[in-house]
Amino acid sequence: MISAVLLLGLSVGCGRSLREEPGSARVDLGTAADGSSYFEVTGLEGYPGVGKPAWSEFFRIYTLFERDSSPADLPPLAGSYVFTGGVLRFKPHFPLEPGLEYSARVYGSPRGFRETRFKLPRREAAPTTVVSAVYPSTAALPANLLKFYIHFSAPMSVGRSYEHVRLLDSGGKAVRYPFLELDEELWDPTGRRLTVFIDPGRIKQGVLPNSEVGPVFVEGQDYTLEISGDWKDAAGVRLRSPFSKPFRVSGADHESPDPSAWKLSAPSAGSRDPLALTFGAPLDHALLQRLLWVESAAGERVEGEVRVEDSERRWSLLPDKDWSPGTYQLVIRSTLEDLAGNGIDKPFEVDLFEQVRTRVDSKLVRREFTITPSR
Amino acid sequence: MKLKLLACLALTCSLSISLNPAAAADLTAGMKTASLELKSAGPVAFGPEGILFVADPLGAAVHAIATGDAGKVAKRKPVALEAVDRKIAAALGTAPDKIRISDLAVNPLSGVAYLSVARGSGVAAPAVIVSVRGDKLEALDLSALKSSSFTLTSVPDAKATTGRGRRRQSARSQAITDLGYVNGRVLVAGMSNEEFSSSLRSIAFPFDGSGKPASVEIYHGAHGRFETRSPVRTFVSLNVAGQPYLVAAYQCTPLVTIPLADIKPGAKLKGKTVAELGNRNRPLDMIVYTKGGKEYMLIANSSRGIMKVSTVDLGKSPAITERVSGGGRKGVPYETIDGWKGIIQLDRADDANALVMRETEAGSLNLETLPLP
Repeated sequence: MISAVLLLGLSVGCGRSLREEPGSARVDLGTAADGSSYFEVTGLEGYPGVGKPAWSEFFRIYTLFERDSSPADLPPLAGSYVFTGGVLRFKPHFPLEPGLEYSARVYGSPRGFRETRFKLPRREAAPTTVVSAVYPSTAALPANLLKFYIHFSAPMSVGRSYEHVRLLDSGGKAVRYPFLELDEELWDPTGRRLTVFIDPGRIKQGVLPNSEVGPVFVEGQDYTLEISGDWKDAAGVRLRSPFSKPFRVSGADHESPDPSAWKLSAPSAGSRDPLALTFGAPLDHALLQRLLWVESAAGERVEGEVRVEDSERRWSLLPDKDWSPGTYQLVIRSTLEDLAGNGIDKPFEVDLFEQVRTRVDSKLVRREFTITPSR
Repeated sequence: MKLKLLACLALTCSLSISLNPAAAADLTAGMKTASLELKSAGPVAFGPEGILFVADPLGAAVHAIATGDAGKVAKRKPVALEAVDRKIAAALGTAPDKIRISDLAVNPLSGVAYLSVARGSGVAAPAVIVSVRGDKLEALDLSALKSSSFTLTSVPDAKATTGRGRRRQSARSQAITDLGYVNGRVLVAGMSNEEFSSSLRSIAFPFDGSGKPASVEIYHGAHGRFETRSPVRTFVSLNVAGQPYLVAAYQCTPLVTIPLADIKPGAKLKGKTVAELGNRNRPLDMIVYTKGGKEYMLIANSSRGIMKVSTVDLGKSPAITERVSGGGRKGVPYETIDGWKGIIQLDRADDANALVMRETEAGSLNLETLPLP
C-alpha cells in the first residue's frame, strides 16, 4: 500500500502562500499495465496553472531521502508529461524506489503549491545470496598467485567491492593493499563473478611496490581470503553469511604449463565417456572454460559439456554425441594460464633482454590423439 | 574526462580550432536517431561538433552521441555545484548510495559538463548521461538524439563452451579504463577480467562498420628488465618534440609515451617510461592545457594529489630503465598543486579553467570550476 499524506501550503524557499494554492487538484499514484508507476493530477478545471507552456512549471515531483529532508536544493524527478482529457500524467524515467518518499507538488504560483506525499514501503527481503565458490579452489597457492575469482549465487552490488574483500595473515591481521584496486571492477556480464587481481607490483620481481612494501605472500605462511557478509547483492540485501577461504602459500611458480606433459585419457569410440586431461598443477578456472577445446580431423569442434574438477587439475569434455573413431586435436590457446599467470608460451614475467616479441602472439598449441573402438 | 583533441590543435587554437564545416557535417551524417542501446556508461570524452563518446563495457561497445550541444559559447559561468551525487540521485528518483558516477567530460564548444552515471546497484543498472549547465542538471533523452555505435569485438578466442541442456555464456568481459578522440580515431584502453593484459584499440571515426580496430598491447620496462602488462589507467595525446604521442598513466603510476603512429593493428608496442610518480598511488585522470605559451599536463592521483608536468620535459626525459628506489619517484619533474585536494575527476573547462569533481571529507561529490594552475 502506498500511503499518501496531503500537506497544504508548504512552500519552496521562504514563506507560505496559501492563497495561491490550487484548491481542487488531486494527485494519485497509479500503476500502468507494464507495471511502471505514474503520478496523475485530476481536478484541474479552472486552475490557473493549466495551459502554461511547460508542465514542469505546474507539477513537479521531488525525491525525499530522509524523513524531513527538504528538496529546496534538489532538482525534481526526471520524467515525461502527458495531458489528455483534463488529466495530467507524469511518468518518471525510472522506477520509484522502495523505502523512499516522494513529494508531488501542484503549483499555483512559483511559491505556492499543494503537496501530496507518497511513501513507498521498504522491501524487506531475507538474505539469500551467498558466495558460491572461490577459485583457485585449492588450499595451497603459489607465492606469486595472480588472481581470485569470487562467484556469487546472484548478481551483486558493484562499486565498493574492495571494501568487502580482505586478505588476512595467519595472525588474523589484514594484509595492506594486497589487491589491484581498479575503479572499473572486473565483473562478469551477469554481475555474479568478480575477478580480484593481486597487485602485480607486489608480485613481480624488481617492480617498485615489491621492493618498497614487500610481496603480498610469504612462502610457508597461512592466509585467509575473507568476504564480508555486509556486502549487498544487486537487490540491496546483505549476503546470507560471510565467507572465508583459508590457504597456505607455497613457493613462487615461474614455469609455463607444458601441454605435452598433461595426461590424456581418451574414451572409446561409440561411447559418450568423457575425454579427460590431468594437469601437473592447477590451471586458471575461467580460462579452462574457454581456451581449451577439441577438434575432429575435419577441424570441427566437438561440442559438449566441459567440467573442471580436482582443484582445477582436471579438465574433461562430455560430448553431446557419441565419439567417432579417428584422430582428434586437443587445441590450446597459448594464453591459457596457471595460477601465477604463466601462459603456455611464456611465463608471467619475461626478461626483456632475453625475449622480445614484436607481434601480439596468441597462437594455438595442438596435441593429437586417437579414439579407437573398444576391444 | 579530458579534452583529448591533439595538443597541436590546442596550441594553435588562437589561429583556428574550428574544423572544416563540410567535414564536420559528415561526422554525424551516418548517425541514426533512436538507435542507441546503452547498457552501461563508463569513461566519456568529447570529439568535435558536440559528439560525446561513451564507453559501454557491458554492451562491449563505444557509442558516439550527437548531443546537439554544438554551438560555441564564449562566455561561461563557473560551476559550483555541491553534492552533485545527491542532486543526480534526486533527479533519478533514488537514494545517493544507489547511483555511481563513472566519468566527467566537458564539451569544449559549450563548456557544458556531461557525467556518465549508473542508476542502481548492479552491473545491469541502467546507464544515464547527465548534463550540467551551470546549476541545472538534465538526464539526456538518448532516444531523441542521433548516435552511432562500434562493437568492440574481442580478441579471437575459443567460443564459450556449450553446456549439456543449458547454454553456458562466456563470463569474459572487457573493462574500459579510458577512451579519447584523437585525430579522427577513437582510442579505447581496456583490460580483461580473465587474462591479465592491457589493450589499446584505435577505431576510425565516423564508425562505418568496416574499420577493423587496431589492437595493440603496450609494454613498458618497469623499474628494470621486466615487462609488464599492467592496465592503462588514463591517457592523453599531445605533441612531444613535434611528433604526436599518447601519454599513458599506468595503474602502478609509471608515465609512458607511445608514438601515435605506432598504434597499428596487431602491433606490440613498447612504451617509453618517462616518469615514476610514486608507489601506492593510482593515477585517476589527466588533462593537457596551455598557459603562458607553455604546455602542461595535470595528473590527478589517488594518494599524491594533483601533479603538474611540463610537456617539454616529457620530450627531454630519458627512458627509465633502472629500478627506482627511495621515494619511488623518478624521471620528469613535477610540481604538486596544493589546494587541489580530493579531486577524482577533471577536464578542461576552457583555456583558463578546469572542471573538477571533488570528494569532500563527508563523502559527497562537488563539481567546481578551478583556474588552471
